[in-house]
Amino acid sequence: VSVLENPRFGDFPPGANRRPEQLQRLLDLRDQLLGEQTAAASPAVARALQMADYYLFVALTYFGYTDKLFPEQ
Amino acid sequence: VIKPVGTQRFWNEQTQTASREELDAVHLAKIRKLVAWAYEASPLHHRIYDEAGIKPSDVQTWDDFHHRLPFTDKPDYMAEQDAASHGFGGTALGEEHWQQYFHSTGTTGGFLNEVFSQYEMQKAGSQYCYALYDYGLRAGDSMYFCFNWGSWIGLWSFYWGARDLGLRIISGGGSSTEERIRQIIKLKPTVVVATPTYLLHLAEVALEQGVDLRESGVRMVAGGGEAGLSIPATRDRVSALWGVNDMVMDAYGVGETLFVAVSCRKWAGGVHVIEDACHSYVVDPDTDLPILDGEAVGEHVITSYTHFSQPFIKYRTHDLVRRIQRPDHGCGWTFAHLPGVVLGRVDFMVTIRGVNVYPTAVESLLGEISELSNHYELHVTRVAGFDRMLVKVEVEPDATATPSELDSRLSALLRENLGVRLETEVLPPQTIPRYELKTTRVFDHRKDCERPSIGLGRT
Repeated sequence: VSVLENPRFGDFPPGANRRPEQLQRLLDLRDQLLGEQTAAASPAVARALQMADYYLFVALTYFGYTDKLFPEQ
Repeated sequence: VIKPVGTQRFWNEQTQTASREELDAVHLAKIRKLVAWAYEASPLHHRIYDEAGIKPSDVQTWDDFHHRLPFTDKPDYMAEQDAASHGFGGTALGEEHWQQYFHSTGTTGGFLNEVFSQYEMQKAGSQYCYALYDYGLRAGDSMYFCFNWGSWIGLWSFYWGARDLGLRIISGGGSSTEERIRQIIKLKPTVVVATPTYLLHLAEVALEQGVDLRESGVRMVAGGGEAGLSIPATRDRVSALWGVNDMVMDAYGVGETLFVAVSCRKWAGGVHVIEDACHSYVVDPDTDLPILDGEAVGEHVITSYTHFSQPFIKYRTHDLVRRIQRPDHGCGWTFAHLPGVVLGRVDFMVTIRGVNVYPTAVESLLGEISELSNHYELHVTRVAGFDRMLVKVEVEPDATATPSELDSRLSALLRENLGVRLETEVLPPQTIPRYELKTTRVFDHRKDCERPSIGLGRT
């Protein structure tokens, strides 16, 4: 079953941030991700984490997140 | 102690410089998991392993892998492809994961349809980064593509690599050669990527227009799809026309298993297998036994850790290579090295009076006669039970020797170095077609029954 067809997400609310607790968890995850990027074992790992951050930031934007506008800000 | 990323010499030191023993231990662990997963997920692999009477749990050691696990080959996938309603053979992931379609170039007859998931494209791109990083490329550099983004995977995966490294992409897709020359002069990319033949063609057309690409600001050229960039004479000519010195990067790939090897900055005449992305070893095409000494030439057999939509495990590439297990040419990489890259094809193997003649050896020798160009074709025929090879090559436009003189010199050079006499034909300039995609150099006119046959590792 693909992500979009997963029944778990059937009741996902539309619109701006109606799940503040998940947004907060994702922001915490991002802090952790950026910390790992700084301490990365190799340029390969650092770049992979940077790309992961781009995808994570897209997820933040789906919550109507506005504190930062883009990952590099 | 972790060094700051900006000061590190290698793209991924932890595996790129690991010992042979460490690498082999990781390979065996990955292969065992892969075989177990493919047995459950891929009907093709399930059937092949059942027919061979082997279960995943039987694969415990390298001996099991080398001697008990069956090979796979293109006809296995083609047969499934022909029978499947979705048009793909050997699939293991559902269609909801399939993100992009390609097909092989048809070098070995018939197009094999290939499909890739999002992760596979991301991972495939990472294979280039080991080399691009080694050549000094960083975010802020740019890559110009002489490529029309068709259904051959070729430079698509280079594009994924450029994105994985964070380079700026400049597309030359849909542009004529003349337009590409103007774009390169105007946009000054750090790297130009194309097949070796097209890199030569682009520089030659530029010169005809009075444009010297050595003045373009391009610092590096890169390519693949053909042997050229690891053949010294061809590489030197490309380097001279572009003025890039040793900044010539070669890449070797097999469409089905994705790109498998790239050159390091030291080059040393070949490419390193990216052992984070695949396992590779060499077999004697007659006996199927592994060749582990690094001296003998044999058939390259690949297991991909990148392609899961269609797993390729112990897959016969039909490419003839020499594989150095423990390279020591000073680059620091420990990934295996393939000097000369693809030396020939098992199915194009030509034996003339007992001597195996490899197309790359012929190309290398052509480069020793400066008045001959890099544009050539090899035509293989069988007459009265014996293989024959005709070498057709274009003369350089400014050659002073007559075609007859050049023909005699070429014939003597080939005989002295290969130990056999080949037929030769020196042609006027611009006789042989130029291609943007993988150029066909070898034309095998033998009947199927006259070509060398190879075993499939199972009856």
